[in-house]
Amino acid sequence: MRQLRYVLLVVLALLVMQRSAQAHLVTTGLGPVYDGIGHFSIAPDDSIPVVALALFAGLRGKRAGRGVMFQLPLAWFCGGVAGLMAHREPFDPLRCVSFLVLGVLVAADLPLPDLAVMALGVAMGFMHGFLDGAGFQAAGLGKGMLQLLGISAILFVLTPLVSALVVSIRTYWVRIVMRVAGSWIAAIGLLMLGWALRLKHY
Amino acid sequence: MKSAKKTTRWLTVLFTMFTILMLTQHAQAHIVAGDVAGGFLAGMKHPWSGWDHICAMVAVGLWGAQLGMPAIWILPVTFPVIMSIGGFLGLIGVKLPGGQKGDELGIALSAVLLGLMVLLKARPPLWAAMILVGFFGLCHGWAHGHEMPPDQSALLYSIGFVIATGTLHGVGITIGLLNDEWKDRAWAPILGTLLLGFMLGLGLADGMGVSGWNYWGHVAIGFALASAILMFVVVKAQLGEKVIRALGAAITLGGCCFLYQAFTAEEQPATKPTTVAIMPVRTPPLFDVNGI
Repeated sequence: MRQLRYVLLVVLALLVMQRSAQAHLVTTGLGPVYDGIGHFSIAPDDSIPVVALALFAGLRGKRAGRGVMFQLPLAWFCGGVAGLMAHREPFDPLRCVSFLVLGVLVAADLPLPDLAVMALGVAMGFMHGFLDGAGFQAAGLGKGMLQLLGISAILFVLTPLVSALVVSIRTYWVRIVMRVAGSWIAAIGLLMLGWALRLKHY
Repeated sequence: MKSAKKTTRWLTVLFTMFTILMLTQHAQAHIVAGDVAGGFLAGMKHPWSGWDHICAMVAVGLWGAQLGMPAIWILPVTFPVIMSIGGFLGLIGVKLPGGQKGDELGIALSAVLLGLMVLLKARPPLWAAMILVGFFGLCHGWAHGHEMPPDQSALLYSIGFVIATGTLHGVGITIGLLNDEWKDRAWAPILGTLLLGFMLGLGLADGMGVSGWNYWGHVAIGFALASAILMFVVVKAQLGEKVIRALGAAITLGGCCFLYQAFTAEEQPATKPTTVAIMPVRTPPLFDVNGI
């Protein structure tokens, strides 16, 4: 026990003395697939609607969750490919729609049929994928397909994890917390939309 | 004895972690550091930056806790959703009746009436409570939308803003529940202490008018002080019904001061954006090998 304390003390001392890291991935690079994963992870405008969709699918049950797990990554990839080929500037305020629609659905815990949930997943995946693909194209980056593959891979992992968690939870309070989270997401979407329209007003 | 040792050990670990966090240096590897931190933190701070907002939002939580299920979660959901509609209207430049002055009066009235509801432990039908809370949410939201600073990331600002609003409701709900349903739960005082401590810490830092690392240092000091005091009050004294009602009375009194201020204040022009970032900077993939 005493030895463990010493080890902990040394580790803590080392942590306190840390300096800026020299080995960041930005200088080494891990390839376009990881670029895609990294891109998704730091883009809340992509990740929050995905979490909202997974929450909604989970609230609707196992079947909806399973369907979204396959359809969302696939639709995202297809949309991305279409975006890469479209040669158009992405129109980002479209993402507000995902926030609004999914946030309201989660908050209302609307009993939509499984098929509708899956259709929603396809529509959302295609739209976000398209915007991502068009963004990659506009930024002049090569290997966009592989980056989209990275995004699809993380979607395939993230979506079932969140949905399965929701399906497994039966506590009334936790479901309420999810609905509250949905209302927050809808509120964020509405504020974003207002911000997007603000430019036109002035 | 054994549990005292365990508590001491946990406190030591927490204190050490906190010290380390305070001593860490600026990270050098952020891609959009200014944008991400600025937008989110600015949004986080906005609802906390005025006592009129704080009083009303905490009162919503307190009242929800007094009313019990389902008002305890429906009211705090109604408020941010309607508030965001108000924010939307404020952002796109829609004028409320009475303009900014009318809105300020609405905000001040929200503290007066919601405080009164808590003080009197009023029990109107749920729909009436929702309409009251929703109306005031609209006033608060419009003011936020009208005053939102330009040149921020809309998404990150909105996330911070909504989370901060929800946390304020959470503070009210927690105080209300600590008094009633949760008083025997071991984690209740910890949760209450964390929320209230954070709120008082932010209040202290804002009140001192400090910025940068100094700001977060003051937040930490306020957090530690408030935690120590609240732990004593919550655990030892047990918040009673009278204390909750006294909070309602304090909010009402505060609201009266805001009302006076609203009557005498001059109208401010809306913040005009120069350039507006609709989304966070759409960075190219982080680790682009080809670009290096």
